[in-house]
Amino acid sequence: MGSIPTFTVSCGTTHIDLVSVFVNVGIIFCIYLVVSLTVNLEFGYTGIPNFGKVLFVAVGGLMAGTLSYRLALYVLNLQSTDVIANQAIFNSSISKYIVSHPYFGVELFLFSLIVGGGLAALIGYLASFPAIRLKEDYLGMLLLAAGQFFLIFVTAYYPITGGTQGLLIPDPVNWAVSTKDLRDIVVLGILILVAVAVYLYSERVARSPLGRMMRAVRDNEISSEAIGKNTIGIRRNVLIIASALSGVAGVLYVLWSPAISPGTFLRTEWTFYPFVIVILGGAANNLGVGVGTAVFVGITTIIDQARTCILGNGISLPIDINAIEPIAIGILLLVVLLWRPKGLVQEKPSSTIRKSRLKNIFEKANKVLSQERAQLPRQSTDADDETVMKSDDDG
Amino acid sequence: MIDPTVSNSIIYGSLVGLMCVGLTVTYLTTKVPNFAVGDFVVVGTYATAAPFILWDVQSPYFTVPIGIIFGGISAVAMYLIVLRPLIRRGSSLVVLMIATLAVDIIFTGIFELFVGYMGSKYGRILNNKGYGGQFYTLGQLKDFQIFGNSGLLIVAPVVLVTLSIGLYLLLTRSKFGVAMRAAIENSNLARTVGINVERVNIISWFLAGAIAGLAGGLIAIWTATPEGNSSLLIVDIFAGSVLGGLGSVYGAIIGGLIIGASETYLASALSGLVSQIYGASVGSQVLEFQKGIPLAIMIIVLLIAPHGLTGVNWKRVGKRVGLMK
Repeated sequence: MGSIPTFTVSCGTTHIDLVSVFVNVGIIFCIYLVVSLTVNLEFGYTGIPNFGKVLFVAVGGLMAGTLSYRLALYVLNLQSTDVIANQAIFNSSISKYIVSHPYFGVELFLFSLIVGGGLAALIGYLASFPAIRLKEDYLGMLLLAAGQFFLIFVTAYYPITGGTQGLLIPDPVNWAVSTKDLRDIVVLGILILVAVAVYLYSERVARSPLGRMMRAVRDNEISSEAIGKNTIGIRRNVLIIASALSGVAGVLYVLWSPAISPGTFLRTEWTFYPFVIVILGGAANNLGVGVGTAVFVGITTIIDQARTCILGNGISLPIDINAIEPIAIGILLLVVLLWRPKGLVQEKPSSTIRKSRLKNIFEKANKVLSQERAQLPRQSTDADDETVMKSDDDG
Repeated sequence: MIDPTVSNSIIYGSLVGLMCVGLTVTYLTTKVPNFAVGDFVVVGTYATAAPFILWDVQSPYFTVPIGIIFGGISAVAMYLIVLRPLIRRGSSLVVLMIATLAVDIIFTGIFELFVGYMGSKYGRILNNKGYGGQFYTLGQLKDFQIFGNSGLLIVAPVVLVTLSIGLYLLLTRSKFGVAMRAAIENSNLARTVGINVERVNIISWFLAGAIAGLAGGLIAIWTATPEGNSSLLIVDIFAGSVLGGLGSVYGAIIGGLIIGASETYLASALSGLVSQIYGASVGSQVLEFQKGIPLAIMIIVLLIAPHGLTGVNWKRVGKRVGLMK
């Protein structure tokens, strides 16, 4: 394999490697895009304030990680009474095995995607029982409290996550680890594939009859019930789908950074930031979520690089510089809510088919109508105006 | 000396009762579940602890008023800067909830800044021994002793009872209390009759923040406080308020009392039971998961009686059970 060219920017005595910065930005963008799209499905389209998002991401990442570790142990026939305590030794032999059998790594990743998504969907299904019949305020409180508790549970439960000791997850792309950059580029490739798939799926859902129904449930639940829609069923399905995709996002995160500690899944990063992204970009608008993610990742990268630069030059500050980022993002959200509440890209009525096709259909219809009119004897002039169809340019 | 499990249950129950009053008052006035209420508590904690340690005050009870004032000020600031402009814009409920979440995150960041600054400048304030060495923990403040019991065992219930009576008198016997109830019931009508609803809201928010700050100051005397305490407290506060029905201050007091006491008592009873069967190391792990108890109560309440204790028609329940006729 050829070596990766390096471009560096100097900042005092520290050097920032541009390639790795760009690759990291891409990876973070993809992960946040997936999480934010799920928030958009729930909150933007259906109006479910899922403030327990971190729970579903953590379940996906942690359960997929710990189960794929057990699976690898089973395949390699490694046994011990306490597999968590021996994880450093076991992981090195698993890594060697994956280097010699790359297909096993692929299988492991697919397994963790299925397990992570599936278990998160299951939790979403369970959460929907008390949740879907509640009003927004109670729903938000319940999900936030549930997320907070299960976060404690999942991160402190030794057999699953190693408690305070943390968990090392087998790296499915270990065959690419000749240099660290190459591994990250491979990871980026995988993440882009998944993120594009999730984006296309969300876009399809938004344009489908289900998507229109979701917006109907959001805008007026009573009248959508009155026309016979099963609003509870729709909200449950949305919660399950979005939870599964959040689990996938968790799996993607542990693919990128396989060492998990109790501080990995925090409410600020996995519940609050996705909501910031959705509101910043514009709710109920997948393109807006993409724009919002880009802006958000740009801001956090700038803060992050400034921090690296300050810390790398040995400048000592009297305050904890890590706390700046949440404060800045929180203020950003409040500013957006106050002065641009609809976000950067506003919600549009989504067209179910392409505009050009829509125009064609209208043209054909008008042609047929005018032919028919020509054949019929003229009866009244008022009827003409009613029968001419026009294509709506806005919609 | 009273069994520490029982005394801890009484103390924590009273404290959660106070915090639930804080949440319920803000919920009644603005109809938004305030996710930042745990932060008012933590403001109270730090505003009590920092002067106590810095000035070498005799007892932390003397600095609790500082915590109360700072709690109230932070609540009023949040109402004036964030919620009032958003409500005037006509923002939806979910947007308001997200705004309170943002305030929560900002508060958490400010605490981190404050704690880091105080830790680096005055190392004795906060000892850095928390979770995996990542987080700061504030040590328990010095309490006085009564017959071998912690003084808080007397102070906390007395404060709660005094506050209940005080709130009752305020709401029913004072002009302001009547105006506040009118503003809660129907703010437009209250405005028409000439009640200054804005002022009522601001004073209510100050009251709520002050009560939460009081609870925070007392918590610092009761136990060591981890840095991320607000996000742990929020589970108890929501569970207690939902149990109380979110519609009445007295319901909040009872709900919070039940949640705090049962969480402490059940967790330690369960832990004792488990350590008898599986050994002490497993038993102590149970304590880490004690927030499951308020969550379970909250889910059961939402499924069975979504309007909480105050929403239940107790006469009918009594008839069903056969106790009353």
